[in-house]
Order: sequence, then C-alpha cells, then structure tokens
Amino acid sequence: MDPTLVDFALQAFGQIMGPHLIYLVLGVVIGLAVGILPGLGGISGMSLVLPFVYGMDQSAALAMMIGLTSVTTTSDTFPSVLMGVPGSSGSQATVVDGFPLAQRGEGARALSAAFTASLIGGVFGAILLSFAFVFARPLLLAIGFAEQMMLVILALSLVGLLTGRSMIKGLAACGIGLLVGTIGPAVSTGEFRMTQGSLYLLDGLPLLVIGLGLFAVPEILDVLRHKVAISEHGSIGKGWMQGVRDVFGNMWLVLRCSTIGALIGALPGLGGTVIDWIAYGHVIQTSKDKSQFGKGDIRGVIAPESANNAKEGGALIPTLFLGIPGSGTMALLLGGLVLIGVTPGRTLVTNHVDLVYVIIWSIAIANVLGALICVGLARPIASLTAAPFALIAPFMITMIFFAGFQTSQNWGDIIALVLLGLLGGFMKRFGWSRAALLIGFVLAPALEDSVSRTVQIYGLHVFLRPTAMIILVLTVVSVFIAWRSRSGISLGEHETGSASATQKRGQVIFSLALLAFAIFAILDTMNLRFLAYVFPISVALITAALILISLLQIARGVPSALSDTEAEYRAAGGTQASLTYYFGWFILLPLLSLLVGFFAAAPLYVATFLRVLAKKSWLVCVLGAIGVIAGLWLLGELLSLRYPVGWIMALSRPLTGG
Amino acid sequence: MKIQALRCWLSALAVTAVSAVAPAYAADITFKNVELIVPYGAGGGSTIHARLLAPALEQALPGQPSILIRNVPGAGSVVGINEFHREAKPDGMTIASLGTGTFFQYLLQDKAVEYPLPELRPFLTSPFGLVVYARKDLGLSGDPVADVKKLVTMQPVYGGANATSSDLPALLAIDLLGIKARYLFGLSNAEAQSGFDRGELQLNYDNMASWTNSVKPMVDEGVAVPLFTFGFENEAGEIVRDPMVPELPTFLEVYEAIHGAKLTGEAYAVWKTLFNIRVMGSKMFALPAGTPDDIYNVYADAMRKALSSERLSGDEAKAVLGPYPQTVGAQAERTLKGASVMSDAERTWLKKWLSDTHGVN
Repeated sequence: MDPTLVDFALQAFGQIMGPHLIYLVLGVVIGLAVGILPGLGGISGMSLVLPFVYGMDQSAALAMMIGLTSVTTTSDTFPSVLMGVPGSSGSQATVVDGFPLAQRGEGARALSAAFTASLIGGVFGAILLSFAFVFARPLLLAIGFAEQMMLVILALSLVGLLTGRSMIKGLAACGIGLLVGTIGPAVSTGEFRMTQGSLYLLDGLPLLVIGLGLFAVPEILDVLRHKVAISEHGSIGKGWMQGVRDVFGNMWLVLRCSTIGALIGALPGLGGTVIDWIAYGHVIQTSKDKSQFGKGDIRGVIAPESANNAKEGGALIPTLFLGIPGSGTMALLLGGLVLIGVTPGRTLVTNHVDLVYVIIWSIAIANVLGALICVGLARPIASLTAAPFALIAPFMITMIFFAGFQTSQNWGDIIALVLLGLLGGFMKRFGWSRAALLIGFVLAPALEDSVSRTVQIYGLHVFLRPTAMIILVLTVVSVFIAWRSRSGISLGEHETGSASATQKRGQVIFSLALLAFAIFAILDTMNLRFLAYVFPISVALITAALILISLLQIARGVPSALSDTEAEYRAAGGTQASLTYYFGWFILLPLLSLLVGFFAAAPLYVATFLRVLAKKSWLVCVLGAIGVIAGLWLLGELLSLRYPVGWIMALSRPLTGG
Repeated sequence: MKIQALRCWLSALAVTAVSAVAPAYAADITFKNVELIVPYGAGGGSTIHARLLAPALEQALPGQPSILIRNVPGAGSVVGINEFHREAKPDGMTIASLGTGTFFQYLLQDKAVEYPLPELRPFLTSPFGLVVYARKDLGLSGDPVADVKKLVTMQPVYGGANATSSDLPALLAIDLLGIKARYLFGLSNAEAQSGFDRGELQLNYDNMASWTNSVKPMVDEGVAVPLFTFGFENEAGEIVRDPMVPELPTFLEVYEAIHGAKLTGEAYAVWKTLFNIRVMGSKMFALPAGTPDDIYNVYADAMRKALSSERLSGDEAKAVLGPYPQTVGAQAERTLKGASVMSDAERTWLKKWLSDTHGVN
C-alpha cells in the first residue's frame, strides 16, 4: 500500500479514537436502538440524525452516520432470535434456527454467537472496503446485465435447499412467491398487475410485511397456544462462552459468509435483502450433518449474521466510489454526505482520501462497539424468553402491527399483515415452505428485470460472456450438490403421522386456494402487453402444474406431500383452544384500531389481553397500557411517525386542527 | 406520535363537547409545528432538497416553528399529494413538496389522482437543468449537431424508468430529433448510470445535479459526449443556455439545426409544458388549495428571507440547488400554472405520441 495512504489511515484512526469517538458512540447507540425494533432500521435512524448533521465537522458527522448504519444489523438479531420476529428484512433467515434455539433455552448461546459473527463480518467488510480502491471499478464494470441475471439464477437455485420435505410443494411455494412479487407495476411497461384498483398495491407488497406475516404471526400464535414461556426450560440457559466458541469453531464458515455478504452487497442486481438467505442456503449446502437445520442449529445463526454485517462494507463500495447507492440507507447516506459538503462519486477517492479512511475505521470500530454493547444487553433482554408468554404477547403483537404499519404508513399494511399471517399459518400447518415463498418474492423483480434486459440487449450472445458463464457453471454445480444431498433437510417441520394421511380435506382445500391464485394471476395479466405478462404467466403455468402434481400426491397418499399439524395435534389428544381463537385475539388489535385509531387501541388491547388471557391484576393491566402509550408516544415524537387513524378520529377531523 | 395527531386524538375524545373552533388566523400569524410532506422515499432528491431548505425556512417563519419532514412515498408521488390534498387544512400548518410525478400523473389523467393541481399554491420553485449524452464509442465526435445526425442513422440503446416517468421529457426530445433508440425500461437511475458506464446502454440523460460528479468525469475520460441541455427560461421568457454548462447548445437549437426549422405547433406546446415541469418546476414547495393570501404571503416572504440566509448561500446549498435562480411567490404560482395546464388538443397529441412511440395507452 502507498505509504501516504498509511499516513491517512493512521491519522483517521487518531481522529476517530480521539475527538470523534463520542459522535461514533452516539451513532452506534441510535443504530442499535432503531435496529432492535422491527419495522425501523437504518433509514429511520438516518432520518433522525440528518437534521443535526448540517454544520457539524465533516469527520464527526461521518463517524456518526456510519456508526449508525453499521450496527442496525447487529441489534436486529434480538427480536429474530428471542421472539421469532424478524428485526429487519436483513435478518429473516436468522429466525429459522435462532428462534428454535431460544425455545430450547439456548437463547444466550444463539445471541452471543450472532453478535460475535456480526462483529467479525462487519470488520471483514471494512477491510474489504479498504482494498476496494484497487478493484471496485473493474469489478463493477465486469458485472453487466447478463452477469446480474446469472447471479439471480444462482441465488434462486439455493431455493432447492429450502423447500422442506416435499420438493414439489417447496418449488410451488417459490412460484407463489414469484407471483406475489409481480403484484404492482410491470417495470418494463408501467402497467399494473393484480392490483385490482387498490392504491396500496400500486407499489407492490413491502418485504417486511411479508416476513412478519409469514414467520412472526404463526410462531407467536403457536407459542401462545402451546407454551407458558418461549424458553421451554424456564431459563435462558448459560452458553455465553459456548456461543463465542461456536463462532471460532466455525471460523472458515464465518469468513466464507462474510465474503458472500460483502460481495453481494457490492454487486448490482441482487440487493441486500436476500443476502441472509443466500448465506443460509450456503451453510446448509456445505454442511455434512443437515438434520438439525430448522430445529436450532447454531450454524444457521452464524452464517446469516456474519453475512449481513459484512454487507454494509460491501454496499459502501458502489456508494462511495461510483456515487451509486446500493440501498435505501446508502441513498440517504449520500444525501447526508451532500449536506456536509462532500460530494460522493468518482472524485471522492482522489479529493477526500482522509474521509474514506474515517469511514473505514468507523465501520470497524462501530461493529466492535455494537457487538460489545449487545453482549452486555443480551442477558437482561434474553430473560424475556423465560417470562410468562401471555405477559409478553400483547406487546409483541402491538410491535408487529407497529412495524408493519411503518413500512408504508398505510392501512393496507395492516390488512396485508393479517392476510399474510393467515397464509403463513396455513402454510405451516399444511407443510408448504415459507422460506421458499419469501425467497421467490424477494427475487421476483430481480429475476424478471434481469432476464428481460439480458434478452433485449444480448439475446443468445449472453453465452459468449465469460463471467456470465462462470456464474452459470457455479449454479449448475450448486444444483447438482443440492440434488445429491437432499435427504434430511426438513427445516423444522414435524414428521407426519397417520392423522395427516387420513384427514386430507384441509390440505386439498388449501392447495386448491393456491391453485386459484395462480389462475387469477394468469387471468389478470393476460390482456397486458407482452413484456408485462410473459413473466407472470410463465411462472403461473409452472406453479399451477406443480400444485396439481402435489394434489395428485396428496390424493395418492405420498408421505412427503402430506402434512396437517392441526390434525396431528388433535389426534395426539391436544385440548387447547383452536388456533382460530388465538387468531381472533391477534386481529382484535387492528379491529380496535379501526374504531378508535392505533394509538388509543394499543393500550386498550394490552390491558384487555393482560386481564383476560394472562389473568393479571388491574394494576398490572393499567401499567402495561401506560407503558405502551408512553413507548408509542416517545417513538412518534422522536421519529415523527404516524399511527393508523380510526373511524372516530376520521369522524372528528373537521372539528380539529390536525 | 406527532403532536398534531395526538391533538387530533384528544379532541376526538371530546368530540361531543366541542361546539366550535375559532379560525386560527389572527392578525399576527405565527406557526408552531409545520408538517412538510415529501411524497417520495427518504433517500431521494426531493428529501435532500427539503432537508436543506426546511431549517432555513424554520428560522424565517414567524414563531420559528419546527418543520417536521414526513415521507409519504407511493405511486410516483400520487399517494403523498392525495393525502396532502385530502387532509391538509389551508392554515399554513401543512405544506408539501411537489415532484415531477405529481405533474405527469395529473396531466395524463391518472385515475388515482385526487388533487386539483393548478389550485395548489406553490411559494417556491427550484429549477434544475437536464443534459442528454451518449457513448463516445458509437463513433461520435463531440460536435453536438453532427453527433445527433449520426445517432439518427443508428439505433442507440436508451435505458430508463418508463415512458410516463420523469424520463418523459428526455424521451420526447430524443424522438423529436429523429433518433430512433431501442428503449430498455424498468431501470432505476443508478442502474441506468452504471449500465451506461459499462457500455451496455448508449444514450442517457441526467439531472444537472449529477453533472460535476458523474457526467463530466465521463466526458473528461472520453467515455461520454454531451449532446444538448434542455436550456433554461430567463425572466424575459426566453429559453437560453443552461447556466451550468453554457457551452452546450439547447435542445431547441439542435432541433433547428437538424430540421432547418424551429419546433412549432402542438409538439412545441407539449415540449414546453414538459420543460416547465422538469426544468423550471423541478421541485416545489406548496400550500394546500384555498390557502388565504395572508398566510400565503407570510410563507413567500419567509422563503425569500430564507434563501438569502447564510445557510442557503454556502457550497452545500449550491450542491443541491445548482446555479439556478429560485423563484418565490407569484412567479412560482405562474410556473405551476404553466406546468399543470394543458389544452385538450395538446393532451391528445401527447397521448397519441406515447401510444405510437412507446405503446402506452
């Protein structure tokens, strides 16, 4: 490395560890706080600090902004592991193994492993960024539309590993996800698909709402029904050091996933939201013993967590060196840079090498600080998993609706959350892979766009592009390995017994409902222009065929295709109230909000829930209600958020000043 | 929760008790909390623009209110501006930032649009120029007129969002010059920029905000040649060369050089309206329809004061606003009218052009 660069690096290190440390810490604390709450993330945090950035010293402002964006993916692990609620769209895969670990009473181990992995991943991203001077431009120039398409296909091929017990049903679920992902405008023609005149659907469904609905809602209802506390052992367990040892025992895996995270973060085409799933697919593919994935394998936590922190350093490469933001947070960071008088882009590296090093050090130090703070917080927070669940559930349900609504601040978010929760519940019951649907959804726009661009620009010449061909070969190898080693990846699904085989009615009806959706997709898009319908109709036809095959398998009684956890539960003599009853409790909050608005409904709901389901004293109920209202008010004030307005408020509007 | 919303809720509790609320407009107008609705996502240019200007406006408004910026993205600004029109009272407590999409969806009579655009009361417009450029490796020389003539004989690949998005003015200009491009839609700005950099796309346009940091470096490296700017309308109503790159000819100049005659008729009228939207009214701050003059004037005066403040005279401000003169008050209202009113004949022409050239119905 150039000796003057080393000077710059040391000077920047001195600055950050000296006068700017306080700003970095401030940024880290804000970043951790917004990361821990589902629905809020780097974007909300940046919006919070941007008004104060103007007029600050450049390096101090940078340290604060970078500190903030670097650690949101560290603290978002808390809700993912402890509650099964994805803390942000970047930590959805962590839920799959993290939550079962918490349920087994190993929440502490999972958290310490996650934070250690985050730390290493984040620092790795910073190191990669410091070498990006050399390779950023040639690398980014090498990834054209054709290569982007191959990357998307490579990512999609990982779905083969996440299909659950029945491959046919898993692929069909992925197809449904791809179709749900096409709701909204067809980018190539601007025509709208499957929106049915709804303004909310014009921009498609938000990823976070899908993640919350499919994963968080069914899990919460399940725990509420079957368990006293999240952790079966009533304690959070030891295992602090165990978690750290787990990471060091899997160092090679951590480094591989960090590389994957940083690279995908830097490359165009895939986007940051799928990185955790790719890392998760990677760890399954490369592990010999796959039997514990989905049931609480610590490697299933380590892989996505190291990847999603490394991503931040990677995403800064195009943002800083080309002025092309890799994500929404990065776009906002660019705006912040402009406000402090730094114009990012090609001139940044030549004019402001010192600032580039401030950024790199800030990432590295912020990741260390963030991980340490989280480890410190982990013990008290993890004790929540040992608390009676009926006491926590109303707050979690409030949090889920809060998170859902903050994604686009529209009543549509709430409705979508309820419907997707229902879908997620049935998918879980009847053995359809929710992870496959989610991946399909995330990759739908990337797949459609990149295929259409590649066909339009290259046609068959795509096969003459060496980089594209290398990625294609990788895909083939990955699919081959997946095919050969499919046995035993059940992703936590229950083994089916005789009840699933005898009670087929629910399974058939649900399959028919999915089939109806595929047919609806065809009917809705067939009258659009070619570029708008070719993708959804092709996918819908394949999906419909897969669903028909699985229906046939259900009719014939093929064991891998059969699943009805509810029937199994009843056959085993389960006597708890039906899930419908708990679902009723879940939708009570939106129903109340419809009437009096979310801000008034949340405390009412919490109090009622605590009184009726948790059977607590009135005092506890009132305290809970006050706690919720204080929390919502504080968040609203700090972040200038809005909450859903109810019927009474709408009625009174003409009389008020608001 | 925002104070306004909290107040709304509290008064909902007292809904039966409330008899009348006196109008808030007294002789001395002061503001406490003002909400600024930005109808695009938090990372976009409109948000940056709002975040630069809002603090200076806070200082200049009577009562020094705090201005809360709220992003309400969706449907190309329609969701946010619909909400603004539906819910904002004409009392100066709510303002909105208008963007290009606000105008296009209105002019193309999108069914989702609920707001009567010409009736909104803008008190600030921030103009921003546009530049169209192409890959030099197509065999271009750097002489704009000769280059356009050459491009007419080939089919350069153009990448953009879609035909009815903010690309529309550039698409119309390219087509009016006779360039038959191959259009690749569905690209974000960043994707189009990097696709051009890689050579997969050959024709592109950019807001002048990108000139110094992304377009000019490509020109200096010999990757791109600039073709023309959209120009800029001076106070006398003439379209002159863009103050950022006065050495480049305007679209109208190039048109005349290529076709041997000025652009006239409905084509000109439509182009001029799109120019008003995309260049002269690139970003606006507006009060709701029906805002009384006294409140409007307080805002216009405050905006004038804010623009001459120290905060808005520095380099940071220049990076966001460019060298373009900002317009305030009555002049801003004229810009809005010029950008939001289109005769039926012009609309028919535009729709036919969209349908013929881009298959949009």
